[in-house]
Amino acid sequence: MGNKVVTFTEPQLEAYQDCTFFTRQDVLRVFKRFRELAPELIPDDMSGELASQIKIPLEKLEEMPELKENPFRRRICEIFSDEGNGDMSFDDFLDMFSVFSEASSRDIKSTYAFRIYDYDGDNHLGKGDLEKTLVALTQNSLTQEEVNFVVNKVLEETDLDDDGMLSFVEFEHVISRAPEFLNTFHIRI
Amino acid sequence: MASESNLSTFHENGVYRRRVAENAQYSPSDEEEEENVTVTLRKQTGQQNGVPNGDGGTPFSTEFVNDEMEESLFDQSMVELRNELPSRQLDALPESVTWTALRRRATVIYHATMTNNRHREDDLVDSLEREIDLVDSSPQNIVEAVRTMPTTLSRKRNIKRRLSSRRKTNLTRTKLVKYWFGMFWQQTKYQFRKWRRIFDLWSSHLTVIEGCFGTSVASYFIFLKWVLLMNIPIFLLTFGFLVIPQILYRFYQLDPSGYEEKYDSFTGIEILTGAGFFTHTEMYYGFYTDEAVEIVTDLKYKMKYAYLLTCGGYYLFCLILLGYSYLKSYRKYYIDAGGTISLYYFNLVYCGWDYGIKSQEASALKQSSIYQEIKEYLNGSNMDQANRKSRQDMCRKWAFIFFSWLVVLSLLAGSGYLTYTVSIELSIKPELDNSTSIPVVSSLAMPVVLSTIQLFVPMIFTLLEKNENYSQPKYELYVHMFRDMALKATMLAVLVYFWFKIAAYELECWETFVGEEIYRLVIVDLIFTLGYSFFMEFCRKLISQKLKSVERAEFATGRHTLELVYSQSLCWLGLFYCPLLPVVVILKLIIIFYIKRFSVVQNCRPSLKPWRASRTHTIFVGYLFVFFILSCIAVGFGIFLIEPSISCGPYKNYDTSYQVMTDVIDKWKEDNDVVKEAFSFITSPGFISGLLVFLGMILYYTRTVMLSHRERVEQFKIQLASEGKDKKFLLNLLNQVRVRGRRASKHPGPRLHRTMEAISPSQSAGGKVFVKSVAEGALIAPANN
Repeated sequence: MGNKVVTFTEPQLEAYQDCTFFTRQDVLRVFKRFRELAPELIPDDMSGELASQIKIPLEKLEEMPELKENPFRRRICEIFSDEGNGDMSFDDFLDMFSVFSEASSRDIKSTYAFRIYDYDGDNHLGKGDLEKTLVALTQNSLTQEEVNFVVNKVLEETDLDDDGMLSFVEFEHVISRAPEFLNTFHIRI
Repeated sequence: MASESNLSTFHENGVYRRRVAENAQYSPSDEEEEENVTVTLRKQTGQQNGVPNGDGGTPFSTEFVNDEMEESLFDQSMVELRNELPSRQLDALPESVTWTALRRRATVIYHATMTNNRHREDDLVDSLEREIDLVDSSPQNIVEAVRTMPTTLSRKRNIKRRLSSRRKTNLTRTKLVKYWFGMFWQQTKYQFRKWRRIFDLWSSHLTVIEGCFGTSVASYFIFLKWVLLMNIPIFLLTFGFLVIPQILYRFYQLDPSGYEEKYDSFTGIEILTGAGFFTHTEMYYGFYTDEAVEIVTDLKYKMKYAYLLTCGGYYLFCLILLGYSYLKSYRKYYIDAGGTISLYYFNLVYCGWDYGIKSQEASALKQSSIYQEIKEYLNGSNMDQANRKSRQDMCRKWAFIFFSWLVVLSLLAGSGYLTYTVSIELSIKPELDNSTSIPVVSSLAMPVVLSTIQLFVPMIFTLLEKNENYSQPKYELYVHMFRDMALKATMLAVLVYFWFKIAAYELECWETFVGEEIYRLVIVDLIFTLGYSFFMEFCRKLISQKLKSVERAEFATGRHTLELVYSQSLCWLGLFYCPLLPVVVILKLIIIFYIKRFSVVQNCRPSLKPWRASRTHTIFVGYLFVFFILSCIAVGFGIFLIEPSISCGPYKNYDTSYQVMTDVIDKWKEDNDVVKEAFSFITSPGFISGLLVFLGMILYYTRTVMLSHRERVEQFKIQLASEGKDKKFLLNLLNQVRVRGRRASKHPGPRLHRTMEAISPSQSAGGKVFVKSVAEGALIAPANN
């Protein structure tokens, strides 16, 4: 039937296999899902630099079933996109699902979780970040004083140097004692 | 940052204003200076402020406004100062350059910088490259380090390319060898990862379930898959080492070959009872020969030894697998810092959302579940003070708990007695008398009674627990699970006692009887599970469609997982007497998976209650392990102590099944003196007690190490908190010095000293000297300008 269109070259697949927690078949499966989001934008042949250049816009990504119901979907897309605006290339897409996969380590998951929850990007989870997380979780159904109470309680439990914010080191220390984290911070694709 | 937040709170609370008012020590001649300063500052900040003219009457607001402008400049400088502090310079941390340390540093470094700061990142990558050359690393370490770097994929590829190309340039011969070895190892690991995908059964089903219900329900199905995969090697072992030689023996050696015609032919009912046709096939112990299988000449395969050794083999395999899995689960999910405050709120906020949820119903439910949990915690913490129970209430509570445990024990005793009676009346007597009771019903009576007890008695337990009023729902769950498993264990223990004490002496081929009983238990368990699914889930859905008041069922994850534990322990109990039992169990698990998977999606609704999947997973594996040990003990009892039947099985003429091994060892001892010496040494009491003492010492040592680590962690925490306070204190001090000192600098002399003493927050003489010296240093500088 003529020559088959090869989506990725051999060195590309090998590089993907080395740099992510996926095997070859997983990479091709993830590519299929990527393509389904915007078939007109993504070509068949992704060799060369296309894998990191062609980007799917944020709106289409937010409609994906894996992300649709997630209150943090926008933050997730912003963190994993190269420029920070939420549009993701295939490289970013693969990276995202690799971090969320079952095989990825606790360290890398906690790093990305910290970035996702750090809304203002100052490398610390301050009261503002905590409030926004809580509001996203409960869809604004808590009163302000309840939110403040919970935020203060969280800081009380986890702020070791008592500065009113969680640094990455403190966050990681506490996450390693949280047994549910690996279970919940996991997207199956 | 500490002082920043301090200052902001000061501003908010007006404390700052108060402090300023306290320390205001102006003389009227300051006003001119003040005005100049104000003008300069206003020019700097471009603000037009209606500052009242230099009038000693309102020094308050004047200096507040000025200081506010100054504070913004101060804030900026403090931020810069803070970023220079050593605790922020994580890449300057002196650490030993081992690979784990390097990987952690890579993670920490990459986080410490902003990911958008490309320039800084390149510097770090270079420094990382230099360090990788220092460490004697192989390619797989590089790959691992690159894979775990928290940066984008494109950069990772570039980094990997650069690192790999650098590696190849300066390799000595030993390094080359290591390089090739590393590549080979990497390839095998990839192949292994590819093959592991074969075990990725049912991942599409799991995705659907997880999307609709979350990880709690999915954990049941993952547990089921794990148990299934564990049974496959057991099946292969028994099939390869026992069943196939027996079949070969049957068909090639024995005369007449094949299955004897005089025994029953196959009718459909045997699937249910396991007796009849199956009794005289490889299914049961009684069928196996005690002779040697000799298909190829001179190659004797002695069935006696094969049977025992295979048994030992699969129990050992299960022991290793279970022990490893329990430890892994415990370490992964139960990392307990020991005695410190638990992380309710943190877990709620940061581990509360299940990222696997895909359906809208589940996500709405999850949000309301989190909301409920927060409300519960809020109420709980408010109620703590108000909840001092009266003495009478406490007495009543404990009396009820005592009473309920009595009820539980009596129920256990009752069930045990019932099992025993049913076994005697209905299982043994018909076999002996050949009386006219209906064969199928009487043989199935015991399993049905057992399963019925297991269905209804836990409901009584639930009723008791509802009234026991536990402080946390998880305690209720744990107690219920314990009682449920105790019930199952009691009934199985009674059965085992019955089999070994009574059936073994009354029946001719008791091992086959035991095998058949266990087979029937497994089949009836399957029927009851399917029945539960049908009635409790499917029918409830139909009813809920007609009546609006009845809701669809929730999937009882805990109950079903414990049923899996029970069925697997039956499998282990029966392995010795029914070598083909793993096949039955595998088929049973596959059927259960598909039925439950479709039932859950069609008939059940997601649960509102939070379910700690990881903690309970550890508990389930723990129960599995305990039941495995109990089954091993029971089977061991049978092997070592009970006399095998005379007319059937591989151990026909021995006193105990284990006697074959002791005979072999005795023979070795006779042949060889060294072996004799070695054996007598190993089995001597001195050696064994020495071994036990040694193990006890290791245990004690590890425990002491753990306790000391725990104490150290506590001390570090206290140290960390006080370090934070140190920073606050010093920054506060500097702030005060700078603000006051600048103003008081216009009037050096005794006034300066008084001012310094007044504003210095430190009480010690050394502190005051420090403050004074800093202030004076600040004075000299402007004087020099």
